[in-house]
Amino acid sequence: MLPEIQTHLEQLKWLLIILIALVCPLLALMLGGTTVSLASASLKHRTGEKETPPWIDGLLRRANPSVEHDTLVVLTIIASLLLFKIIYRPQLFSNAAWIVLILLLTAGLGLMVCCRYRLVDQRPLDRTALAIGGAGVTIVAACCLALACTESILLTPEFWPHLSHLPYLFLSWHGFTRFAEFLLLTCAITGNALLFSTTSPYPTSIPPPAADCVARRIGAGLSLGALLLWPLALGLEMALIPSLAGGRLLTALAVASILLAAFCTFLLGMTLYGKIHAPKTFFAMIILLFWCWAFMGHVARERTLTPVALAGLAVETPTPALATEGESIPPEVSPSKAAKVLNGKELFEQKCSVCHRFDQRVVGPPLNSVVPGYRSDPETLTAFLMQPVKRNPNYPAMPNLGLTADQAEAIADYLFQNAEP
Amino acid sequence: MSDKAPKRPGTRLRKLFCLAVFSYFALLVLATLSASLVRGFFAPPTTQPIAFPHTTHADKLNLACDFCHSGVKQEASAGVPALSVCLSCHRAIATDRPEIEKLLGYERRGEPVRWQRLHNLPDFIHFTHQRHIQAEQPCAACHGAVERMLEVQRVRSLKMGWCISCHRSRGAPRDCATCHK
Repeated sequence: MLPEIQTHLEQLKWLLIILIALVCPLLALMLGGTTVSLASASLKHRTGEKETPPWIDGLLRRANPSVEHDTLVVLTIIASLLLFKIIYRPQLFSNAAWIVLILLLTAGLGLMVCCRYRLVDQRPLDRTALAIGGAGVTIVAACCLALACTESILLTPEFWPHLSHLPYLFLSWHGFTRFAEFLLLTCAITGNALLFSTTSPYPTSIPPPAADCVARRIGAGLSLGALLLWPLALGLEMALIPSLAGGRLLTALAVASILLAAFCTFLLGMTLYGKIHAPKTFFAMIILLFWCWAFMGHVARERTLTPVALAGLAVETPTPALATEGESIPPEVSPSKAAKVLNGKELFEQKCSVCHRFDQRVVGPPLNSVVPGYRSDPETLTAFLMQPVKRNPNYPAMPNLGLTADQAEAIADYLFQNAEP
Repeated sequence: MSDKAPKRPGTRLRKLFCLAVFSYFALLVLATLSASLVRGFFAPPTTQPIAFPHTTHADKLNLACDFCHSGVKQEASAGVPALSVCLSCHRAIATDRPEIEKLLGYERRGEPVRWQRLHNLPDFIHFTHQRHIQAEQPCAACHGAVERMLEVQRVRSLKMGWCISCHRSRGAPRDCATCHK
């Protein structure tokens, strides 16, 4: 279904990492913004339109229910998932499972978008709208957990062949930790939006400054809590990550992430004390944290999913799809290729010439001294080439080269033609 | 009269808070570095005394694994080939190459080649190659595509969870005594 791309793999991997780095902050902004909007709208719905405390309006306005990035998020997620399938060919799920995941994500994001459009249009949310929004958030969060666990299981390729027998292996502590990290970063970026937001699409009336202040405090608390917890989750990830995936670069990125979180906390503190006001720098630092997080995943994958590891896995579990293709369409062997396979001279040079010469001893005996003995019984030589046994104690045993009957016959013919009588 | 204004208690509290946050992050950086050190993330890659290319022997020459690792079918350990096995061919082949010269040097000095073990299992584990080969497990299931490795590397975790998942999916015994001594 998807193309096998061997060239430009590096470029595709960089494209994937850029897409992940792009999609994660956008998705986090959507998820966090919608959750806060829904929570505020739900509180408003519960207290009644007239008795709503002003800070809830402030929170609802600062959650900034913008819908301009939604299409971009959906498209980027779909592109990332397809690239994952093309680059790593994980065999984790069938194509149907991947399509269901994409459809679920799209549906969840769609539900969230519907809910946000209502907020943008300044229409109060009824119970149904709240339920739709809640369902959207839950579906998207569940898909994010599934993707985090998928990313994590990619680091243990030995589990892939057994996954169809043991689906519960899909969930992993490392996957949960990565998901927790994503949630913490979501809280940090949502807190940033609440703290520094200046837009006021809803409601149109200007709220009292005190309400704004409460919303700002909630945002600051959300960001501060997330930034303080982030290094703990990172430490847990470093403890749980498969040992084969770990390395110096991963540790350097983890340390850089902790230092970035410390700098963000410092900036937040300075902002709260009124010493500085640097919304752009703070936002850029959180985006950098997202990039570090995404790049850590990439580094871990690249250390584990080496071509030799994947090749070994392919030996163990030939894909049913390929087997079916092989059965229905037998590989076409061109006449020239067939001739090449049975070319005794080429086979001799490839397989035998390292140890054998016709006129001198190298590792094995000179062929001119042994081949003539088989002229009366060529089949014995063919059988010997296919299943060598030690005959002469003065020479080491000849290894079994795994020759087929045709190959052994071609080499025997070549030997009979070229050995001295 | 002193010009110094008395310090506000809020300032001291603020400084204490900053110090606590700074210590918290510094501690976590140290913890992450220590955890990486303990887990061997800083360990240099294992280098073998002789750069033995499996690509040449297992792929190009198509030698079977048990030609050199002779114990794999009969014994618990596959075994690293003795110097004499290498020399049975390399007394004559490619003797002018630096790595083969190293090999011949070991023989002249009467010294064994100290290969670095990559696939280590804890002492309390009883693992036999013989059983797994009898169960028709390909070598690549645990060792990866060795024939494509210029320098052998470990590509499987060899942890208990991995063993169990394979045993479970293939209906192999899973009681503790199967693997634990």
